[in-house]
Amino acid sequence: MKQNSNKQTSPPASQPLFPNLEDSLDHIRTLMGDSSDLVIRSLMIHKTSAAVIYMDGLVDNNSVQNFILEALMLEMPSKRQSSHHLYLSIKEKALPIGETEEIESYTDLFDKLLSGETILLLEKQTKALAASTKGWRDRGVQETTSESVIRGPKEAFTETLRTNTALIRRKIKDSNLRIEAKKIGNKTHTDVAIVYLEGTAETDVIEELNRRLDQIDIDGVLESGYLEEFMQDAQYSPFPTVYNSEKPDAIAGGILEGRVAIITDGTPNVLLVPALFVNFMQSSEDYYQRADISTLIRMLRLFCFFVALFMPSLYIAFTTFHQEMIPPPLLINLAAQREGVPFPALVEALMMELTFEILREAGVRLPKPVGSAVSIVGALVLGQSAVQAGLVSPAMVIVVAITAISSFVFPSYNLAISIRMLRFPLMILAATFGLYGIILGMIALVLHLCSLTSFGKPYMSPFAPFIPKDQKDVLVRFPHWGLLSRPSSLTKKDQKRVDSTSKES
Amino acid sequence: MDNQTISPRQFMFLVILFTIGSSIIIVPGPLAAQAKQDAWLSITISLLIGLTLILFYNHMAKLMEGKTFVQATIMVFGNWFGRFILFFYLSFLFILAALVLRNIGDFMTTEIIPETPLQFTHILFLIVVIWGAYLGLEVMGRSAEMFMPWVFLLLLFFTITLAPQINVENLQPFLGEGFMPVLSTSTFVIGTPLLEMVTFLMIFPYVKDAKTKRKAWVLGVFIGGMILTLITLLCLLVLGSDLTALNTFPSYKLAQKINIAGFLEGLEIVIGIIWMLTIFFKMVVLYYAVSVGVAQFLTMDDHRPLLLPLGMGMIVLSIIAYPDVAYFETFVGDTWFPYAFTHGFILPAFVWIGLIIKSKRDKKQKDLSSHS
Repeated sequence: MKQNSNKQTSPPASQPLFPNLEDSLDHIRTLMGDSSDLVIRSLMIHKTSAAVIYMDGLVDNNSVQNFILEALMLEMPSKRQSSHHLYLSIKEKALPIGETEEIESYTDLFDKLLSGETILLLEKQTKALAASTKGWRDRGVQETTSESVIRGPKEAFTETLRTNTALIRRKIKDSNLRIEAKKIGNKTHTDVAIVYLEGTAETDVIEELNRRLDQIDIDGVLESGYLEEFMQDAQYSPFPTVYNSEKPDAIAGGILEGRVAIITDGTPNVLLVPALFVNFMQSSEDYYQRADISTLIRMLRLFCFFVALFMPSLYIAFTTFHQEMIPPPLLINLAAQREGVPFPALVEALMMELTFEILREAGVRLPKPVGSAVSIVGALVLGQSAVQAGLVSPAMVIVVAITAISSFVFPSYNLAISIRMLRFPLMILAATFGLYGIILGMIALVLHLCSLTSFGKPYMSPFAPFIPKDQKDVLVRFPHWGLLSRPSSLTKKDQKRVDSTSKES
Repeated sequence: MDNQTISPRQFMFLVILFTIGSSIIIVPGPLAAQAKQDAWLSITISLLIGLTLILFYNHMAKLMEGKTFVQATIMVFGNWFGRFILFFYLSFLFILAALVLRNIGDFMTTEIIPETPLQFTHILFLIVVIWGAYLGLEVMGRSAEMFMPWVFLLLLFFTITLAPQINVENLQPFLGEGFMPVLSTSTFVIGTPLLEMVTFLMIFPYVKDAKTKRKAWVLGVFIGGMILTLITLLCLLVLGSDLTALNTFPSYKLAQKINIAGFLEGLEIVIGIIWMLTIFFKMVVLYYAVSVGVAQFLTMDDHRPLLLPLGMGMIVLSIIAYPDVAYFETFVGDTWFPYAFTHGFILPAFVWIGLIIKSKRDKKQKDLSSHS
């Protein structure tokens, strides 16, 4: 489908190479519109004219000079040869470069040229050589900024696909690790790699993923978010059904669990499917810390999930409808605080939540030096002035603060986003129906969660459907010698993980 | 309808929640009024009778050979007479669902949100129920699995926090009123929820694994019944039989008694949450059974178009079903058992006889055809 559309948009490019070198070069120049970064170096090899073509900035200048130009201009044997023989000898002997390929059509030629390879054209030849000289400025492997850990590898993926696949290969040195390539985007031709362990990942999932990716017909893919929206199961759900991470160890861990990673060129965020609800509550660090503290932290996250989701609505419900359920001393305190506040609890809560959302969004966008100024203003406005001005009660400030902090506990940002959004309908339910509304909202939420699937896997497994065997690595984390099998909610194949005799008792 | 199936475990959880739902509100009061301190005994007796009833339903489900009650009845009695019987069966489920809805509405408007009008309470609840029935049986089963641990944990919490206030003297004298009141009130629990189990004849065919699902049904009713016994026993032990009988919602009153070190008070919401969860599942099972039943009655492919129209009818019915709680108490005490017995036992028994005759005849025909 993608190739068809390619043909439609640029029909002349798909034709075979012209035998005449000048024609060929003209053709390339016209199609590129005399682009200023196109470099065409014409040269003569024993009276056969040839041309070396590359894109300035996408290639590694050193290797083009040392291994291609030098080889062709200085080191060719001086014996006169026919053009065809010359071509063969260059192909087989002359180019000291790891990866070379033959190309026969202009589609291929532009594909290679624009992804940073160097093309060698010879007079009277309908084949050309493409030598891999890719080398552009990239960021290099750096420390992760969005998912920091205390213990565990600090490196993060980069914007370059090849670096990213290498980062995974370095962790999983198994010949069964498959890296399949795809190109998506009619204009951007973005490289996408599908990475999985053959024999561990389920073939159904891989087929389904390939089907969904092949279906995509879009002009450009600039980030993995484009792909995520095309291939996620639940389009109209606040909950994410595709996991993403920029930590190679998290992705490698997912691959070992039988999941499939999708690396997109140009972004450090790598996708992982299928993604279950529990995956968003787990961090790769859980597996590096000791089992007991990991278990406790997982419980804490679950608690924070409820706090972040329900705290403001519970506050509204209790202060508006169910004062009798608050212990009397606390009730007196709360009532005294709310005495001077002119708004109903819902308005108060909405106001504070909105202020906080604004502050948070501003904090992300602002340049670093200004950021601290905003946090001071935020803290003063939120914590002090609003209370002193009698706009909100101090208890409300506490509620909003604990809610906000709780929503930062989750290792994955996507889940925090869905909680942020769902908080507001729950607050409205609480303001209209009290606890009754909150509980019904919660039931509806669970119904919705249970109806979701991610690549055929029930989103709430291993809770619903309940899989006793998988409970070892959900709320609690068993020590590694106890994690005997892979989570069967993710893959049914190659279940064995740890030999039960491997720990001396 | 759309080939969704649930596992025996999910089915068992649904049965447990169905058994507790709404009975947990209605059962302790009237029982304590008549059987006094032996109310818990009458639940245990009725539970035994109920288990044999489930064995009967199980046998019936076996004869139905993977068909729902509606499909089986039409198969046995033909298009017209079959539908005549089914009219009663489906109306029973529909009325039961409306009454259950009213139960939660009554409870909410009396105890938790007194200022909200009844109809809005009902509408909000029913919207969520319709959402559940729309998503289908699979989702219902999974959410039952999600909520079951919560219900158990809350019950455990409830039991432990009430433990200090237990007064064993409340149960004495054992059989002080004689055995008759105990026996006569046991019909009450048979009426609700045990005879209501006939609803599951609409869902049973969609449960996987023929062998364990029978066991799951019996076990589910047993566990649900034990929880009911536990709640009633706690009511009697803490409140005493008189207070239990006087209160409209004795188990809610019971939760108000929780007091730990003077600061953990007002935890009646715990029992409120258990009620809402269990009643939700009772409603959603009933509602699903009704809509699937009506869809099969009308030979429709999908039950989803029926969900909203049925819901509108149910809202109205639930409001006009009875004028006040006093009326309801007599209704539940006197009228419900005969009504439930006719529709939950006599009617299925009638179909059962039909099924037996039909299966014998089929066998004979098979023999004849194989001989010839």
